[in-house]
Amino acid sequence: MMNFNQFSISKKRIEILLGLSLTPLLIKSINYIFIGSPTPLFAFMLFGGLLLFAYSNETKYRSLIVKIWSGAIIFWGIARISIMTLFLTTSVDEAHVRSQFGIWFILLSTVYIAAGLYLFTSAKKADSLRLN
Amino acid sequence: MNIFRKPALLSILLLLIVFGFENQPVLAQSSTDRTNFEVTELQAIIVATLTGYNEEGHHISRSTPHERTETADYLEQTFEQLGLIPLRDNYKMPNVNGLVDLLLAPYKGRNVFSVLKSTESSKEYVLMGAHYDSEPETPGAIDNASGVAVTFAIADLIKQQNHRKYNYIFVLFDQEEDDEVGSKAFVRFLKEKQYKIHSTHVLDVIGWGDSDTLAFEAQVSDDFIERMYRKTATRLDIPLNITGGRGHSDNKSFNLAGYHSAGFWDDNLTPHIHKPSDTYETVNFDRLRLATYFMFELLTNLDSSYDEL
Repeated sequence: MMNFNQFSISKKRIEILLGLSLTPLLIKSINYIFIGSPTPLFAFMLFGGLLLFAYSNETKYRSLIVKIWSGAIIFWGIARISIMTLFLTTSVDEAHVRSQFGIWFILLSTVYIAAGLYLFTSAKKADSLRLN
Repeated sequence: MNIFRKPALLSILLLLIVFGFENQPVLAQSSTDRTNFEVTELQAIIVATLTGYNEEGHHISRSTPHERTETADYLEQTFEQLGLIPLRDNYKMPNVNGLVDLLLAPYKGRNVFSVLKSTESSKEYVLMGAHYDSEPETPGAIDNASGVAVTFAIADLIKQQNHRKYNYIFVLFDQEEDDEVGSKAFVRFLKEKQYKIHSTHVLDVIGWGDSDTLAFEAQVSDDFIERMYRKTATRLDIPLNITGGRGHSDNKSFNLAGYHSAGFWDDNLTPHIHKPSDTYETVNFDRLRLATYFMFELLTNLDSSYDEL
């Protein structure tokens, strides 16, 4: 059973992790908006807005919003690794895509999956604490 | 050293001159005749360098970011060697759709170009270009080192003209093999800088087959440009098939942007296209010379094409 101090540390950790996981999306949004693609900015505004809402109010939806975000970043990491696997196992030859695959690509995707899993389990734990 | 005192050297020199000239195919009479030999030599050097051709049969491609950067550097040097100022259009472009943008980095590349000013005070620009990238692990000699070589040769020939009614932009596009991203970026660049474009002419996949009998194909955007090509082909007696459509190469980017645009290539495409066998050895340089001749005559006689419009 988690005590109050442990729960506070975990909450801080979750907040830092949420901030860190949102930062690359913010950078991507800025990069893309200057070249004419608003989709990453829309995604950032959507998820950033939801998380801001969740943490600026004592809402009952906080846990749900964290779970949605963690699901989104797990999906993001898996999708990237799937694309890489598809390209490496078939004869699809899109040089632009192929050239992005490397250690950094794999590392970032894996870190996002791990962060997503951590956030998801933490949100679940917080739910069970609240219920108890 | 006075070679006239060395009979053996003198004989070799004479033999070289005689055989050298005998082996040069003769084009129809035109203003380009005088420089034919130089054009072929220049084009052979460019195609050999771009494809990494050497006597051991080694080949290189121009596909990865590193390969394309090295190629772009070489193209800038070549512009300089021809006495033209190389310019860069470094670009970033979004992916095919927004969801892919979330997953992957944007396209990044470099179009290399040079502007040759009119000798009059024209504000109109005639654009001619070819893509320099290749498919992964293919040397892309005919697709499209040869198009690059023709572009350089024409830039060099037009630069030597005493009179130019229009400004010319000679551009070598990056990433044609990735959904014509380079030319799309260049269209954006032209619009941003508000260039007034007279017409655009894109070369791709040239240099396969017999030089005299096989036709070229011009894919044109509209009647204006169709007549320009038809008239030049008739005047020079060069077989040309004219087709329509949105575009099969970088001409598509210009066509969709509403410019008068044409794509020019072999009607009978090389069977080596997008294969590792698209090598220097498969290029017919006489055919490149014919394409150079055609495009040079077309681009320097734009006004006479107007007369019939």
